[in-house]
Order: sequence, then structure tokens, then C-alpha cells
Amino acid sequence: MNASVSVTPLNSPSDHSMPLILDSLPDPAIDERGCPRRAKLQIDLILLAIEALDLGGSEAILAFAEELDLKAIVKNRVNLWRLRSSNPLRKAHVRRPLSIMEAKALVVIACYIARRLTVLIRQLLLIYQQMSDKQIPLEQNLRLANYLERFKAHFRSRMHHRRSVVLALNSDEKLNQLAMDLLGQLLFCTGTSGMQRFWISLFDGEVE
Amino acid sequence: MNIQRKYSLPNCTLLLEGISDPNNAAAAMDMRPLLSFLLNAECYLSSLTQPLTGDRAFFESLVKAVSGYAQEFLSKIPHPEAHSEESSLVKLQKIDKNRHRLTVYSGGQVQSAQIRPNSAQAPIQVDLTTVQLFDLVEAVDQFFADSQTLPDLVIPLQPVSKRYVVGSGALSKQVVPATVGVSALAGAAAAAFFLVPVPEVRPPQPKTQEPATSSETTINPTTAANSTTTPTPTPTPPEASPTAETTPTTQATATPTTEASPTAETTPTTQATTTPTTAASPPSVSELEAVFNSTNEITVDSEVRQLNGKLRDEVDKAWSKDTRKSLDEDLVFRVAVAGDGTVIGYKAVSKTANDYVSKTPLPQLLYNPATRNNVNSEPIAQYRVVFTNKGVVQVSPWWGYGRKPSR
Repeated sequence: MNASVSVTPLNSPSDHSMPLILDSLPDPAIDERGCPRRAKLQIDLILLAIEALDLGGSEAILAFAEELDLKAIVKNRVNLWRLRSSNPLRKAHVRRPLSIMEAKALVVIACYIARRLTVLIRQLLLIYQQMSDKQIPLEQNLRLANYLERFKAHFRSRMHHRRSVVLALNSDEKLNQLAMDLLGQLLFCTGTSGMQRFWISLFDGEVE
Repeated sequence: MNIQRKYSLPNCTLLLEGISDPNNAAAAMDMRPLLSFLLNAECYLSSLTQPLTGDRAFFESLVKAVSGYAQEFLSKIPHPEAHSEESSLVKLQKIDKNRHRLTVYSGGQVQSAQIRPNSAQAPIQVDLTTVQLFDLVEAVDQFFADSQTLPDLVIPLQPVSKRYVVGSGALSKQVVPATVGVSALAGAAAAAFFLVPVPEVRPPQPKTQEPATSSETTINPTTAANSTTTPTPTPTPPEASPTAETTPTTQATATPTTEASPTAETTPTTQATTTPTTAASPPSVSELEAVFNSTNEITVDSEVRQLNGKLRDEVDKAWSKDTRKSLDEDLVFRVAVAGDGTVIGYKAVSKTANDYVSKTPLPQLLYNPATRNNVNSEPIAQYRVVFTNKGVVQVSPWWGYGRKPSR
């Protein structure tokens, strides 16, 4: 095989210093390196929802990386941006794999932030429910409107409008729905096993 | 003495009543004794005036459906446990973007196991909002997290298998030949992953068994515990360093191949069930490995160049017009050819390439190594073949020109 040529040494430094917190997430039985496309997409979008929810969201991501001892993986702003740019929908999409460990770190951070925002997430979902039951336009609620506006702005400024998935999300209504779907997912992330559930769901349909 | 356990959330309360194992004397002394036999389960939902009640079969079915549906909610990929076979007492399904329908068969008064599920009893249906659904999931998860209550009832969280996504076995068969390629390729990483317990995909349980023996079907505390909290001693694949490999093309798929021959043997040969006796059957993993491991490589530049052109022409000719324009992204393969230009092996370099191998002419071009006896000793040349999404075939020597493969 001429293995020596292409082998990446297994003892790369990051491998040994794997933070303990990541052990709570099992390794999926996927037969490839790095995360599947949907996982990369989903992780970035859930972080985007957090940013739309919380003005200091992007700061919080880095702060939690520090707090959770994940600095070795999510090093700084640029590094975080590079990890998130593995999302194939991004304008600045870099064709780099997102390793399982990097994905775990981002998921752990997202779920910790989500937990901190539990009350807000629940409230917004309840408001949404009431407004759609009564068929009142969502914009009439200031808090919900703020979240949706910020989400749409983030999404449009960062995602490539020529990607087919993005093209399909061409109306405010569709983007609002995506934002609400993500909010529902964030709520699930706050639960007792939310982190594990969210993590495992990223690999649905990817394993044998 | 009956023990009660309560898991309470704003929109949902689970109340479990049971007894501890009478043979376990230590349990009686315990402040919070182990609830090991469930007598009755009640599930109070804010949108229902009456609780849903039932025995263990009901409760198991409930937690299974809830757990599966929670996963489906997150991934949007149908989960077999959420709305499974008819045998299940509880089902959950999405009815609109914000509503989830919980259906309980024979619910309401299942006091004993004698009452047959799916009997004349009309099923109970409740529509839950996302927040209500979450409270139900959370109550169930709090129950799972409680080691003092029915510790034998464990539902491992596992990704839904590919096989369920398409919903038929036909696809999984199709996938096998391609998988042969990739499993060998993923090398060390794949070998590590395969040590992880294989996700058990429970086949649909026979209908008749469910009410009576349902407790046996799911309970498997040891294996379940293993797979949920997999303490894998194996290294996760290190982050790919895209520089490790000098690729002649700038195309796509940053996944560099890491191939460690020592571990190659551990790739599951079970996947290659078809023995290469018929012309159409794919080569087994070991054979494929053997091909790529061949020490006998063609290194003379002129020959490599000549074969390069030959391979390009052949692939180009064989690539049908229909599939040519149908690729979403570039697919990269590592292809081994014999001195006469026949393709004797290929491997997908990326997952996508593996998935879409059928859109390339490679499977048709593959010469069956079984009909050649001494494939290992035959000199080969290896190429990188890229099928671009523009419908162009690019072929370049795997090791480049003018250098011997270092070994």
C-alpha cells in the first residue's frame, strides 16, 4: 500500500489531550473521517440560531470553549470561523473535514449555551405556538420578531445564495420556519440527555 | 411496600408505581430502594384530563416511541421506533410543523396484561405542541437517568441505520460493493470504529410476542450500557492534515487517504459476503487491499503516461451521457490498472464518491481479479480519477510522474 506516504500519524497531539467532557458523546460508527455533510450543516445552523437568540452569542461560544476546557479544539475566533465554514452552505465554505472531535466540541458548547437560554427558548416557542394558533403574524411580537429578524439577517449574510438549499429558502416565511425549527431543536438540546440526543441525531442515516 | 417515582415537568408528569425485588434484602434498607418491578405507569399530559395508564408493556412502548421520535424530531429522518410496527402500543407522528400526535392503543385502562392491545378499544390520540413534546421527552429522560428505577429498561441512543432511511433492503445491497472500497480505505480510523459495538437495529418484533414478552425484547442492560456510553479506548481519527498528501489535482474532497497497512487486515471481511466467482461480483476487501498493496508497481514514466491516457479514454468512453451531468460534486477515486490497461481495483476517496460510485463507469470497467490468478504479482499502476460535476474525467498518476513510490 505504500502506506508510509499517506498515513497521518495517529499520535497527533490533539488526540491525546482529548477533553474528558467529550467522552459523554459516543463515537458514531461511520466509516469515514470527519462528519457527514448534514452534521456540518446542522451544527453551524444551531450555532447561528444561538447567535440570533443571544446578542453575545458568538462571544459566548468562545467563552464556553474556555470554560469547558475546549480551548485546545476551539482555539480562537478565526479557528471557530474555520470550523463553522465546513458548513457546505457557507459563502466562505472551506472544503475541510470537520473531525468528530471538533464536532463534539461544538455540540457540547452549543448545548451548554442552550441550557443557559432555556427560559428564553421556551418562552419564544410558547409565543410562537399561541400566535400561530390565533393566526397572528409573528412579527407582532417584539421578542419573536427580533429573533427571526436576526436569524434571517445572519443567514442571508453568511450563506451562499446560489447553493440549492439556500435557493429553496427564498422567502421570509421559509426562513422563519427554519428559525423556528432550530429553536425547537435548541429546546431539545437543553434536556437531561439533550446533548447526547442532538449528537446522535446528527448521524441518522449515516451509519450501517 | 409499593414504591412511587414521579418525574414532573410543566406539561407532563410520569408516575411510576412498583416494588423492589423481595429477594434483595439490601434494597429494603435503602433510603431510596430500587424499583425493579413496575406495577403501574401513569402519564399525565396537560392537554388530557385523564392520565394515560398501563402496565410495563405500555410504559416500554411509550419510552421507546418517545425516545425514537425525539431523535426523529432532531434529525428529520424517520425513526423506526417512533411509529413502528402494529405491535407497538404507542406511536408518535408529526402532523404539522408544530404538532405531534401521540397515539396510544388500548390506553386508558390497561390494568392487566390480559387486555389485548389493538382490540376493539379505540386508540387515544393527543396532539402535543413542541414544548409539550419536549416535556414528555424530558420526563422520559429523567426516568432513564434515574438508576434506582427500572435499571433494566434501557434504550440505547443510536443513529438510524442507512437501511431504514430508504426503507428497503434493496439499497443496502447496492451499497455493499461500494462499501468494500471505502472500508478498506478508511484504514486505521475505520478499524477503530469497527471495534465500537455495531448498532443493533432491532428487527420488527413479531406482533404476537409484544404484549407478553416485550420485557425480554428490549432489556439488555449490559450491551445497552456499552453502546450508549461507549468507552472507546480506540483513538478517534485525528484531524485530517490536508497537506499529508500531494494531490496532483486541486479537486474537492479534502479527505486525505490515511492508510495503514497493518490495520488493514482488521477491516471486516464480513462485509464482502459475495465471493468473486461470478464476473459481476465485487472483489473482497482483502483482495482489494492486495491489489493496492502490490509491491510490483509500474514506475517507468513512459508506461505510466501511456496507461494514463488509455485509462482516461476508457473511462470517458464508458461514462454514460445520462449520469455525466448528474453529479453534485466531484468524485475522486483511486484506481489500480494492470499493464494492459484493465481496471483491477478502485477505491472511493471520499464518502460522497463511495455513495455515488454507481454514477461512474468504474463498476462496469472493473475486471474481476478472480479470473486472473496472479493478480498480486502483476505489475500495476495507480491513478487518481476524478469525475467532475461538469462531466469531465480527469486522470493523473496517483504517485505523480518521475518518482518511485516510497515504501
